[in-house]
This record gives sequence, C-alpha cells and structure tokens, in this order.
Amino acid sequence: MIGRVIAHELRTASRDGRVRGLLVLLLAVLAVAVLVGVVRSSTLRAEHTAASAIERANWLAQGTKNPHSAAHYGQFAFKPPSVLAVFDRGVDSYLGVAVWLEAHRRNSLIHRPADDAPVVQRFGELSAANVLQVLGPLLALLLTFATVAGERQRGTLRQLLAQGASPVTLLLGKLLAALLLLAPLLLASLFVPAVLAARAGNGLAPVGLLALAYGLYLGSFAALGVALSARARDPGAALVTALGLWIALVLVVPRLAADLSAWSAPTPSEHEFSVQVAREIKEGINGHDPRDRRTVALKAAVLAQYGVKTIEELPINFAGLALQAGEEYSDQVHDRHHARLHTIYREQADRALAFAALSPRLALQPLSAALCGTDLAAHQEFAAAAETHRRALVRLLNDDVTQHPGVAPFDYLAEPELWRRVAELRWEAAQRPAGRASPRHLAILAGFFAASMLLVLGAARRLRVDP
Amino acid sequence: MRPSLPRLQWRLLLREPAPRIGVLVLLLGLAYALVRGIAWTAMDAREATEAEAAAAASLAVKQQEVEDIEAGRVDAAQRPYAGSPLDYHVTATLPHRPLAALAAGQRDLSTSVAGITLWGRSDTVLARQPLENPEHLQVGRFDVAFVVVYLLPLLVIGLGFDLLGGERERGTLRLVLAQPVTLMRFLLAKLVVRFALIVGATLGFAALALAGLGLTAAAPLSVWLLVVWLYAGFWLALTFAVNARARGSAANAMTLASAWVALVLLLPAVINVGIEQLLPLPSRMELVGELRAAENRAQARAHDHPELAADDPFTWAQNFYRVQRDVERQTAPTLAAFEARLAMRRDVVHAASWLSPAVLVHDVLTDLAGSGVARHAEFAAQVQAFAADLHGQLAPRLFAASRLGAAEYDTLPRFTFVEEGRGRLAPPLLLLVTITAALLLWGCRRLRRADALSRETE
Repeated sequence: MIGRVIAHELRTASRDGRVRGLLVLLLAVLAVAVLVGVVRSSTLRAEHTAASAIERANWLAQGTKNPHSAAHYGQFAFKPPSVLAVFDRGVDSYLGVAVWLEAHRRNSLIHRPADDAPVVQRFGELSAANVLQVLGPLLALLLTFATVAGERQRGTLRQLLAQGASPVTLLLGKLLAALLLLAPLLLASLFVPAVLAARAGNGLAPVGLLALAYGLYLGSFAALGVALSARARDPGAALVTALGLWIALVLVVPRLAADLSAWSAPTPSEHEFSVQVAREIKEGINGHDPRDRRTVALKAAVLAQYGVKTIEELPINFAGLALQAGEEYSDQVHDRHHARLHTIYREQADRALAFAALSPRLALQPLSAALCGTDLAAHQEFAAAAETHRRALVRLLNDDVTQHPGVAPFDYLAEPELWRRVAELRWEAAQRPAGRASPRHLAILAGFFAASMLLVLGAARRLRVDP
Repeated sequence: MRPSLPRLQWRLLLREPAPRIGVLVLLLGLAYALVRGIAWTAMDAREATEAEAAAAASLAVKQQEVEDIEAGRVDAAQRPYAGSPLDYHVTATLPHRPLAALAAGQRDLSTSVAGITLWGRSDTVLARQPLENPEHLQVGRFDVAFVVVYLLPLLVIGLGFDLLGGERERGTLRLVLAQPVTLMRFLLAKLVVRFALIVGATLGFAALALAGLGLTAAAPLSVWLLVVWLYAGFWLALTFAVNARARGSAANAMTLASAWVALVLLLPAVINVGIEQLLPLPSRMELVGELRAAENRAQARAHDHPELAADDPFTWAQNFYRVQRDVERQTAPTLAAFEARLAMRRDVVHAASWLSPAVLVHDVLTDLAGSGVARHAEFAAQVQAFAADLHGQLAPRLFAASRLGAAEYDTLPRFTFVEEGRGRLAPPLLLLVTITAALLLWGCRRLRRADALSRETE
C-alpha cells in the first residue's frame, strides 16, 4: 500500500512544473557550489605548496647571522586546506592561513580570507553545506506543505482513504516520497567530496556521517512539512506557516543564539587581551615577579651551578639561557591566556547549542564543519602544532647561543649549516576527522527527527478528511 | 465614500491578529538588536579609549625619561634609548558615528585600532584583528540592519501577499466591486494602510533609538527612516505587482518568497562567487614569501656595508630602519597590486549591489552607521598616509641621531580620522524609488485593464 502511495506521490510531483523547476534549480546551485569549492581548494593547495617551498628557501638563504636574529626572523607556517573544505568551508574564511613563528611571541594566524572577500560575503557563502543548510529545508517544506492539505481541498483525500490506505500509511508514504526527492541533493553535493576523500585516503566515514546528519536534518523538515500540511486549514495556510517556520528555524534562531551566547559570555577585547599578556610577561604572572628579578635569580642559580663568580667565567653563554628562560616564562603566560580565550569560545558554542532544541541548524552547522575539518577545533589543532614547532625552533636556536660562550653575547654568528638543522612544520589535518564528530550534535539531530516523526504520527491519528 | 476607504481598510487590518503579531515581532527584534548594538558599541568605544589612554601613558613615560636627562637628573648614558625617534608611537582609532549601534557592518571583522610607529611596516600597521569568535563572524550579528534587510521584507510580504486572493476566494471581492470603487483604488488603499502600519512601527522604533542613542542621532535617524521606508516601499510595491497578476494567495506567497530568497540570499552569494572567480586576488601566502625574501636581501645588503655598523644604539636603530624601508621598497609594487585589485573588487561589488535592493540597502545602512567597507578602507588609507608622514618627519632625525626633546613630544602629530564627504546616498535611493514606481505603475495598468474587462463582462 505504502508503495502505491509513494508512486502516486512521485508521479504527481513529476507532473508539477514548480517542483521540477525548484529541484533542478537547487541541484544546479549545488553543482556550482561544489565546483567553486573544488576550484578554490585546488588553488589553495597549489598556493600552499608554493608558499611552503618559498618559505623553506627563505629560511635556508639566511646566511651567517646570530641564532637569535634567526629566531626573530623565524619561520612562517601555512595551514593546509582540508580535503572536505570543498563541501563545507566552515569558519575557515574567518581564520588566518599563515602564522609567523618568531622568538618571544605567540602570534595568531593572519590573512583571513574574509579580510579580502567582497563585502557581500557577509550575506553568506556559496558552499554546498550552506545551500543544504539554508535552501534544503525550504525545498523540503515546499515539497510537503501541500501534500495533505491539497488533497483535502480537492477532495481526493477521502477517495484515497476509501481505497484502504490508513492515515499513517498515507502520511508516511508522502514523507518517504519527499525524502526520495530530496536524496539527489545529498548525492549531488557529497559525491565529489566522497571521491576526493577516498583519493586522499581519508576513508569515507566522515562523508557517511555527513550524509546521515544532513539526511536527518532535511528529513526533519520534510516531516514537519507533512505534519503541518495535515493540520492546516488549506494549502495556503500551510505554505505561510511553512515559510514562517523556515525563516525562524534556519535564519533567525541561529543568529539570535550566537548573539545571546556572546552576550552571556563576552569575548575579551583585543586590547585588553594583549595588555594583560604583556603585563604578565613583564611583571610576572602573579604581578610580583618582574622580569629583571627573574633574570637576577636565574643568574645566581647558574653561577652557583657552575661554581663561578662572574658570567664571564661561565663555560657557556648565559644570554642563551636567559633567552630560553624568558621564552619559557612567556610561553606559560601565552598558554594561560589562549586557554582562557578558548574556554570562552567553547562556552559560547555550548550556550548556542542549548538553543538547538529550537533549530536543528545549530547542531548541524558545527557538526558539519567538524566533519569537514573546517571548524574552530581543527584550526586550533593546527595552531597548537605550529606553536609546538615554534617552541622547538626557538629552543634549538637558544641552545646554540648557549653553547657558544664569547666576549659579547650576540657577536657570535652561526653558519647556514644551522638553519638546515631546523626542520619545517609538517602537518596534515588529523587522519580521522570522523573522530571529531560530536555524538551530542548527532543525537540532537536524531532527536529533532524523532520529534518531527512523532508530529507526523500525531497528525495521522487526528487526520481531518474534509476541508 | 473615497476618503473612508483607507480608514475602513485600516480598521480591517488591525482587526486581524496576524498584522499585530507581525509588527510586535518586528519591534521586539529591532529593540533587542538596538539594546545589543548599544552594548557592543559601548564596549568598542571603551576599548578604543583604553588603547588611546595606554598609548598616551606610555608616551608620557618616554617624555619623562627625556625630561629627566634634560634636567640633569639622570645621566644620558644610563638611558641610551631615551628620546629615540623610533619609539614615538601613535594609536589611531576609527571613531563611532551616532548610528553605530544600528549596523555592525565590518566593525567585528576589520580593525578600528592601529598602532603606528617607525618600527612598523606598511604591511603590518593594520594587522590587528579583533578577537571576535570566528563562529560568530560567520553567522553574523543580530543587528538592526539584519532585522531591516532580512526580516522587514518578510513582514511586508506577510501583510501583503493576500491583498485580493482572500477576498476573491471568500467572494467578498464581488461585493466590494459592486460599490463605485475601482479595483486599483481598492488595492492602493490596502497598500497605503499597510505602508502606514510599517511607518508607524518604524517611527516607534526610531523614537526608542533616539532615546537610546542621544540627540546627536536625530538627523541621521531621519535619513535612516527614509531609507527604511523606501526599502519597505519597494517590497510593498512588489507585493502589489504580484497581487495585480490575480493569482491565488498561495501562488502569491510562493512568488514573493522566491523573490525574497533570490534577492536576499541567492544574489549576494552569486555576486560573491562571481567576483572571487572573475577577479581573483593574488596569493597572500606567496606574498609572505616575497616579503621575507625581501627581508633576507635587505639584511644581506646591510651586512655588506660594515661601514654603516658602529656601536652606539642609534646605529642599530638606523640599520633596522633601513632594512624595513628596503623591504617596503622591494615589495611596494606587489602590495600596490593587492590594493588595486581590492579597490577594483570593492567598486565591482558596489556596482553589483544595484542588482539586489537588499544588498543596496544593507550597504547604505552600514554606511550610515559608519561601519561600512568604504569607511574602513578610508581609515586604512588615512592610517597609511599618516604613517608615511610620520616617517617623513622622524626618519631624518633618526639618521641624524638626534633625540626628541621633551617639549617636542607635545608637538608631534596625533591621528584624527577625517570624515570623507559622503555623496553616495542619493543614487541608490533614487534607484529604489524608480523600481518602486515602476512596479506600482505596472500593477496599476494591469489592474485597470482587469477592471475594465470585469466591468465589461458584468
């Protein structure tokens, strides 16, 4: 029976020019989005390779200089694009791609694509993920809003039920038909990413999870559409309700949730942040341990360790030790403050997620970016790897200063051989991006889908047959 | 009879719960956005004040150091870096305009604080980034401009998609047309009433905004109101034209919703992609490589001239400064190419924004708030020009190894942002008026023809 309902529904849809037009339009938009994603990704990858090669050449071309000057010159590390960025760019546009790894400072990544992007980008980017998240629900609702209300208005609902279809079968059949019509959207947007992921050897688990997440998301909206169609006075009322629901759930609630989370857990200002970091480095984390006193203490300890009276008698270069000690102290300060900032970001994300009961997009958006390796966490992983590399780099150069005692601390010049001993940062996005899929987000999506299905079943039980 | 038609329609409109709820939701959204806007502009202003105060305090310390030496309280040899022209610094901030709270624009993305010293280079002077959560940057702020550009059209559509369809479906239209009223007049009366509702609601909000923002906002707020009314007028004219096609109310809703999706969501994304594909920017990552190669070359050159090296602190500063200027000279053509391309893209976006009233009005609203891309670009240009002037003034002192005098600190330049004349408001508004008028005319002609036909058949 349900098969007949589905077949009937698909036949009706295929005759409806509007449905056909919408589907084709959306598929075309998705195709363009994927194509743009692929072009962009390959350009970025080429730029990344070229820039990394130039950077290595620059580092090696330094000539003879003091290792601490080399530490100030530092290295640049570039964030490689993730494979699945072709599907979802996540927050990548709002995060830098290059980081300067230099002595004394933990820099944040610079050159955010959004800095250079045309200002219309703030209206939303054209990525397959965005299209599915925003226009996907609209299509799901448009495919379903008239399914029951239309039949009721035309009087064919009574006919269908008279032929022996139970209300539940009827509604589920209509829902399944809508899902069958929505399936090509997922296929169109995930096929190319799947091929790319397989070629990159990343496995298909993330793509499978993406399909599941987006399936649940679109399915929820299709079910909502069927349920409200069954309850609505007439198709017009169903349409207006559906459009209102779409606007609220997809566009308004996510923005409002982000804003409320920023309100309740405010981000510190850049000025405040950098002033605090500078102050703690200068005056000590507790405020009573200034830099000069730390150096005096270090000097006494080193002199005692080597059993000598003056720095000149030391078999090592004290400047190198002092630099390294200063480096390690400021690292602690940077770690504290970056951890604090990340805690605030996480707190904001958690608070925004609390609204996911109102809008499944709030659960889908971070989940999708996480699966594609384009979320804040993936960025922070790269930033952390770069920071570890920076510390190793600076330590190696400081150690070299330490091992070269001399009259004046910075007169010693190292040969270019030393630069070759310093490796470059090698980083590929974590091999198992699927591991980052948060079960919480997936559970919220599943819960939303289940709730929508309950609405459908409830509507079936109280189905009015006549207009 | 005729004057009472709008009054009657007004009463009918307010009898329905939907318009009342719609207006209430809009006002709530606007009020929330206003409160938030006032909160974040206050936070922004505090940051700017604190940054300026911190810079002033640190300059005062430097001035005191020189004063101590000049007064003979401290031996100059003890403070070899006191009064170094390299250490003079200025903090440039982009001030708020009275309506800043009404549109976040680029303020959360672009820096509005820049530290200018002779230490810096033109490619880093504007590199400060606000710490805003990138997830929030992606979603966008819930500001008044968002409510106006995205949600106000939806209220207009909600109020207007069913101007005739409902009456026709219920059969009351025939009754109305039996009166000495033309279809066009009847529809226009409905339109005027709905426009009045929106004008009333936005006036209410403007009063609230005036209370929140202070009297300086009065004049710009009236311009703001005009823009919002024109935007609402455009969407009303569109609903009018769609109604004039005499389809059912569901078909109207579908058409209008599609128009909204196309103008507010799709078109901006298409413009964005089009510009990024047709006017690609050279690689920023490779620019980094170029800058660093230039630095290597400049350092090698400095290294090749040992006669420039000596032991006093000024020589080190001079060498450092020479290397930075050398890097700037070498990379100037590339950086200029970036700037030219970005300016070109800004121009094309500006031209393309005429395709979508939503983008156009968003542009105008952020410009009014002083957070638009043009004003941020102007700030960047003024900062660069100021830095160039400062270099011109202080570099000779650096090379002459001449310290700044204590009194001199008070006369050295400070940055003030100079508002650029804005004559860009009129053309976009004229365009909106033209489109609105065209839509209304088209609808009227269509209705007049339909009216004539129906009366013939009667």
